[in-house]
Amino acid sequence: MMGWLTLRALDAVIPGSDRAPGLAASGRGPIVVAELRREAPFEMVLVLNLAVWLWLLTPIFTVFIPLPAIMLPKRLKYLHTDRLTSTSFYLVRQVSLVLKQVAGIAWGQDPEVRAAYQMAPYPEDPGSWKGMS
Amino acid sequence: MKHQAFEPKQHIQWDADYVVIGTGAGGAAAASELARGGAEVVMVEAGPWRDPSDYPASVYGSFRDLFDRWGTTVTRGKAIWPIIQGSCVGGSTVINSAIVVRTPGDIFDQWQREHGVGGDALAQRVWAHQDRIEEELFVETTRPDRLGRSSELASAAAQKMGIEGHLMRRSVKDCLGSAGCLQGCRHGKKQSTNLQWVPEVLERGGGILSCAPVQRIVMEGHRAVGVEGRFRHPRSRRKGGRFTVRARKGVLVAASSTHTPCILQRSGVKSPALGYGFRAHPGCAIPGVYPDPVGMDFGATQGWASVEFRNTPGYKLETLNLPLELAAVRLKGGGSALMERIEELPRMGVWVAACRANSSGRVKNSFGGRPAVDYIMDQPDMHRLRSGLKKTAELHFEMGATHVLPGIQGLPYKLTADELHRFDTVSTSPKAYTVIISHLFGGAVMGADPKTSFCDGSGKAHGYDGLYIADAALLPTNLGVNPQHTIMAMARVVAEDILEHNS
Repeated sequence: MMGWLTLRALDAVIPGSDRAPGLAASGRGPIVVAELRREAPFEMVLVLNLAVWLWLLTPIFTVFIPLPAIMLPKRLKYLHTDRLTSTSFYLVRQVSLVLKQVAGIAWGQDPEVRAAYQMAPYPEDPGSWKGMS
Repeated sequence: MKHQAFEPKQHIQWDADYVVIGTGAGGAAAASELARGGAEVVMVEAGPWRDPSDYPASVYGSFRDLFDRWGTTVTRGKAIWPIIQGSCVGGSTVINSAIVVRTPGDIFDQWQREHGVGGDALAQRVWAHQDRIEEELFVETTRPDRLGRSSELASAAAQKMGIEGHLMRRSVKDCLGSAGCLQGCRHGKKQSTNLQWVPEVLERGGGILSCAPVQRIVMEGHRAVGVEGRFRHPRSRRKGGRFTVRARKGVLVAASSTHTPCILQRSGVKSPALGYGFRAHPGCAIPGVYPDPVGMDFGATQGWASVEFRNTPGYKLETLNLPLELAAVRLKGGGSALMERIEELPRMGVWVAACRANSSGRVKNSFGGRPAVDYIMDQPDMHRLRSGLKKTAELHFEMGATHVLPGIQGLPYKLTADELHRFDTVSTSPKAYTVIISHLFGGAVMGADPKTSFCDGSGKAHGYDGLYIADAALLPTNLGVNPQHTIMAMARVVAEDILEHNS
């Protein structure tokens, strides 16, 4: 449930454009979210969860519609996401920055996205170390 | 050659002449000096040992594999600012831009005047070590054909405006200009300490425990006699077996300005100065958007800098080629509006103003032994930062940027050249700025007075035997220039004095 909600929120942060696919189309989102929830430090997962709930429950304050963000039509969902992540309320902005950060690093490693910006694809991250067993 | 990585169950027990906690700029420099002097040295590193073939390619992998706790350490105070540090064998030398700047002479005068250590004698020793370090690490000026367009633009802008500017000197051998310093340089060109001095220590009969965060220094009365802790798996973070390393002659702490004070506090070491005097060079990035492509994916990650304003008002300027992922996050907002802003990315050059902040903070242990850093910039420092950002914007406009993206709450998303004056009146609240904290100093500073400093000018802890500081934690002021070279040379001075004292 939380993983699914996280993906919806990340998709709304970087929905794609004519030039490059968004996170939903890229397929990187589910991989990154699963790995992050498994391996990232507790406080990072905690703040990410907080950011997701904040995104879900605050359209009433941003686009003035009393619905959870996942039920908004696309245009309003993106407007809500934009307003939430650039709000003048410092703590809200900082918490939602984690959402942007995760969305950004998941999106930017997608080969299609990199190709759209004339960048070479990343090779696989080995994740190895000396003495690994 | 002795290396012990994560051990799930067994209790590993080693002994040596010296134990060095940390393998970054300070720890590896001190360890190699001690090993060259004939001492048996064991290094203990919290993170894993990765070679260039193990380095991640993506920024995501970099956060996961190379950064301290995925980059989640932040300052506490009025504003929450991330503190960037490496956690692996090589420490932050693996993830930084390998910038080499000799310690300015005025720093030694300041240390002498304000802290009773330093002066000309120390300056001569530090500079002599820096000469040798530059040879060992193949330091060279960034080649013009590896600069990248962003640094070329900055260099030309400074020339046009009559501002001092220079191409960075870096410990990078035959740089390919792949803009991948943040991911550790998979090409193996960056001369981080995991590739240079750590293997040398092992070749000279030393050893290293990796994946081994030190829980505490073992004390016998007021004498440090070793370290202990439990192995931690680099991916799952599960704890493994215990490790203990006995030190016959001394323990050198070089775990960074955030971790060094915490380890000392956890070990029951007492000093009124412990944890205090934390300083930094807080920096803000200003992207300039140009009519033509800039392309931050080619060129040295940081190829150009200016120290014209290092003393007055107190900031430095530099270029920074940001990876696509991080550049996208730096832009305002989200949704389709963010996608429109991202369209400008290929035409952006990102330049940074880093404040030579006088503000100081405090480091203490927090939940789970993690460092809690109480730090915030005061108003004079915020004014310095703001003026640095304005100057950065001026440089962009000098080279024909159509607009800049100030990223300051209270200013529009885009500013054009005729709106530059708006920098003068925008808020200087720390909350209004997107700041990154790098270049950390202090936390266990050196000085003549035990009431105001933790260690003396040779890094020896006041009131303790066999306990030394050999990293940025002992630096009592910030420098106004990139600190890696100073940290390395000061660590060498500390090690040299230890050898002389114990011979």
